[in-house]
Amino acid sequence: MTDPTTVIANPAREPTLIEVAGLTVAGGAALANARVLDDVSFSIGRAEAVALVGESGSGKSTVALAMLDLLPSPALSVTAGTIALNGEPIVRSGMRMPRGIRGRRIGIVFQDPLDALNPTMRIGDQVAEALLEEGGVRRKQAREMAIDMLAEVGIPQPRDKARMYPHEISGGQRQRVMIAIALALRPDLLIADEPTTALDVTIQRQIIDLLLELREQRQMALLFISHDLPLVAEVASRVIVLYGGRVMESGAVEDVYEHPSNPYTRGLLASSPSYDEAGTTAGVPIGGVPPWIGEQVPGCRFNTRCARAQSVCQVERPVLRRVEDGGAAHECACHFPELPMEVASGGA
Amino acid sequence: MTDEMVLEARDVHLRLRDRTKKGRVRRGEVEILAGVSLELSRGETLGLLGESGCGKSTFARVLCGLSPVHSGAVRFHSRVAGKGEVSPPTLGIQMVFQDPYGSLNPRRRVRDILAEGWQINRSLLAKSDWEARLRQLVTDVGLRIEHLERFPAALSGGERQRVAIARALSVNPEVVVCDEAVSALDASVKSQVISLLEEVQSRTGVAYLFISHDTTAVRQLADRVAVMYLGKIVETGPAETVFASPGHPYTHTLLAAVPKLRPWRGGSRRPGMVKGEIPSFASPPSGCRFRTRCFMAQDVCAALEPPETALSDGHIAACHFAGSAGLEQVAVSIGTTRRAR
Amino acid sequence: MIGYVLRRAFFSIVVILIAVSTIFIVVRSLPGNPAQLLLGPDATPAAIAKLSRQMGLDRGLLVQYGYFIEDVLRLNFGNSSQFGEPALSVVMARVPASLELAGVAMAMVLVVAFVIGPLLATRTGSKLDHIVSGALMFVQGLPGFWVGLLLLLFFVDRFGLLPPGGRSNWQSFVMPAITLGFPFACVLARLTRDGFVAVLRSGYVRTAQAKGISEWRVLRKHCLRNMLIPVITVGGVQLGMLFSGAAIVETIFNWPGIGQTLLNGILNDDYSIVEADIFVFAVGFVAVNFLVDVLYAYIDPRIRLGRS
Repeated sequence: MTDPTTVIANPAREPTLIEVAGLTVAGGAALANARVLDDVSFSIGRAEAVALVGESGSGKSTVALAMLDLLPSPALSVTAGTIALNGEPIVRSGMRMPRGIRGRRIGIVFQDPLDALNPTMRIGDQVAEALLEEGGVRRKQAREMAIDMLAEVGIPQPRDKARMYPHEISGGQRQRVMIAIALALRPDLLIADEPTTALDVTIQRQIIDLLLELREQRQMALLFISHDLPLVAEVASRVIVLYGGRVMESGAVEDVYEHPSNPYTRGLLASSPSYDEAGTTAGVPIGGVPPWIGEQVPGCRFNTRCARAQSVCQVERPVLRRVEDGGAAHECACHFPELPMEVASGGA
Repeated sequence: MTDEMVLEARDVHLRLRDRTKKGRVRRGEVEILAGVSLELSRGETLGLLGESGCGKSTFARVLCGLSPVHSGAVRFHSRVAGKGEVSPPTLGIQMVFQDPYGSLNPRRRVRDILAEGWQINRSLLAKSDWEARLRQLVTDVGLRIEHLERFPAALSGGERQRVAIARALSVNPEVVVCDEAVSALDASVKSQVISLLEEVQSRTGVAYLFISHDTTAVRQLADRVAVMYLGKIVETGPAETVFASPGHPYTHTLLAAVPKLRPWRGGSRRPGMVKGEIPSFASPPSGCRFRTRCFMAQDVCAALEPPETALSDGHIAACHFAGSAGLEQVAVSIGTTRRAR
Repeated sequence: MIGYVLRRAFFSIVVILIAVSTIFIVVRSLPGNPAQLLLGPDATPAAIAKLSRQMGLDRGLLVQYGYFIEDVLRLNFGNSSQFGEPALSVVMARVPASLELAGVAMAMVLVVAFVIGPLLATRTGSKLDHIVSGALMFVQGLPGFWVGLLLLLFFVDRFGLLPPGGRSNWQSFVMPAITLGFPFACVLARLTRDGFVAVLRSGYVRTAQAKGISEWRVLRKHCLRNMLIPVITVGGVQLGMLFSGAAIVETIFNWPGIGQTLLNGILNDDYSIVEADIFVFAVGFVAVNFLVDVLYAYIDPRIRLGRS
């Protein structure tokens, strides 16, 4: 089934909870049937924090929606590949997600809490709703549990807040409510899709600390989706870099950030300014623009902007391969990966 | 006040009516700006750093003549706006807004958007020169001549922001107020636009008031920095100094909250440093406004408003503990200050 | 909430006052003696003189206005010259018929809108969607009296299926209700469709789905309420119009409602009836709008509590 030279993408260091294999999501006629996600594979361990990194248009949010069978069909749909939970397939082309997964095994927090909460429904009810669906829980009990949940996510005066509506509380508190809703049924995996992009940096810090604390307490897996590289470094232990719907590089965060082999990853890291003991390093932007989603690119999608590109890059798509980086190995999809020996800087 | 200063705000207060309570308009007023003073010199970039709800956008509007002040004054060269007056709109101060999608008229081509300033102020540029100047403007901001014919809908966020910058520059202003001008852009586009702003400044000598909540962006562009919290400026100084050794606990908090790209390389952090949320303008804390979230807060902070303490040349912080050993200790432990200079 | 309701009530009264004042100005602007107009062409000079004094026609305009308002508050519009009875009682007797017609028409409008709307919303962009939406726009523009006459021609003249006019059995409601309601049905159907589409695409519906709750519950608890907001806004105004705008329909179908009464009053120079009728129209329209405003605030907490 698989080519012996390709390595199973990102073997998780712990028992595998989620296995994404060859996931391909295509758009409808409006997108020229283009592949928004193209043969994406990765896995998430039982209590692991994995990050999906990419710019807008990379398809990272599509992965989140696909994992919960929330793709807006017919605009987008899974055309190939599977997603498995504890070995059981839950997402496959033409198959509806089995009951009891959404909310119960996988929870999700979206980017804009004002948009993601029902403006005409009280906050306590929105949290309790998740609990009621579980069955075997009475209304009054669910309300109390909802208040407990609000307290657990750090909302002050939870009893009062439960009676309020989303527009009456602050953005940071709204995001906490979203987290409460997502975790109400104690799922095994929490997907966080750009959860702090709309928040100030101090509130972002609070929310991230909260997420990490809850993850630790519940030994829960976390899929953290973001375009913010430093934030990812503080949250996740493994990272998967997406570009144009394809996996460019993946591995432990420290390995990938210290020894990036894929030119795109390298460019992405270089575009983040850094301030440390060495001083200030300005960000160097990547030249060019990403290809339009509907554009069919036979070779590597990054080849038009890559300084190392050669003719094979325009024709043949690179496969994820193991790369030695002087530490633990990680995976990179590139015909001409930049190996540590070539790198001038790097190393602590 | 020096000859070099182009724009100055002195002790500006601004009040708005409080509409927050259950739809009724309250008799009382809410003070959004509680005595803000700033100076901007020719060709420099002053970063105004603050989070949402601190009043920085309101202040930008006051400077541009879009809002009257209740007391204090705004001075641009010789024109002064005092109590109750609106700073007279002037071509000398232009603004670039945050939303690249909302700030351009979708029904006009780029060339018409850029030429609008000249259309309204005929004396600025002879019509025969428009074409040449349009081409120059567009290439100056890194776009191509073809972009002149496009409509905003055909442009990406970064491209639209370039148009917005070009528009601001079209009337040769002395000051450009960038109100969160790069906040809505992707990371790589953001760094491109920041580079563009730097390049434009070195070429034209324009001054920037760069308003942002993004410490990283401010750090790249600003010569001097002012940190704002709940309608007051809590710290001012040369950017390098403020970022290397902040004087105010809020600045420390901001810097500590920013994620590090390579956290495994060291620089410890104390979790739980950032407490609570910004209080409302309607009921600001007594004494020091930041004390409800401050890791240094003591009794004196509730009793007295902190004085402006001079830490070094041009570096001022409004804190009872500015420059104290206690503050420095905490700062070192959270990694926002290097150990003894 | 209380403050909101009180404010709305206050403004409703102001609007009624303005409408009523318009009646005052119109009658005073007509040529001839207002008292004579009100009493009709058969009135005796003595009666005219008496009414003139009562109306204060010999005094200043402000005094006349004062008497007028006093009369309005006492619900005294004089006697109808056609019927010889108090004008307001004549009009009020016809209100139930108009209400019934408006009610049936509204029911029809709602059924059409809430069937077609969601149907199209779940099939946005399809051929069915394009055809039906286009048809709705076309039908909406058809003139009411033309449609009414066409219905008469078809159902009465050609096939004798329905009674030609007047209010009798349930069949007699059909044509007037359709004629009255069809433009509103078209508007509301399109509005419901758009509202439904917007809700289906919204973030909170996605969140609700992600919670794992059943599709049915998602529809009921999340879609319905939020979809109703724009529908109630427009639908509420439409209801007011259905009640007040039925003059032509009532005339075509000889429906004994207040619209017909108004037209007859105008044609017969019965100005007492006209005054009373306009007053009832205004009060009815304003009352409906007030109720809709209150309902609106109840459904959307953002209106009720104010934005923070």
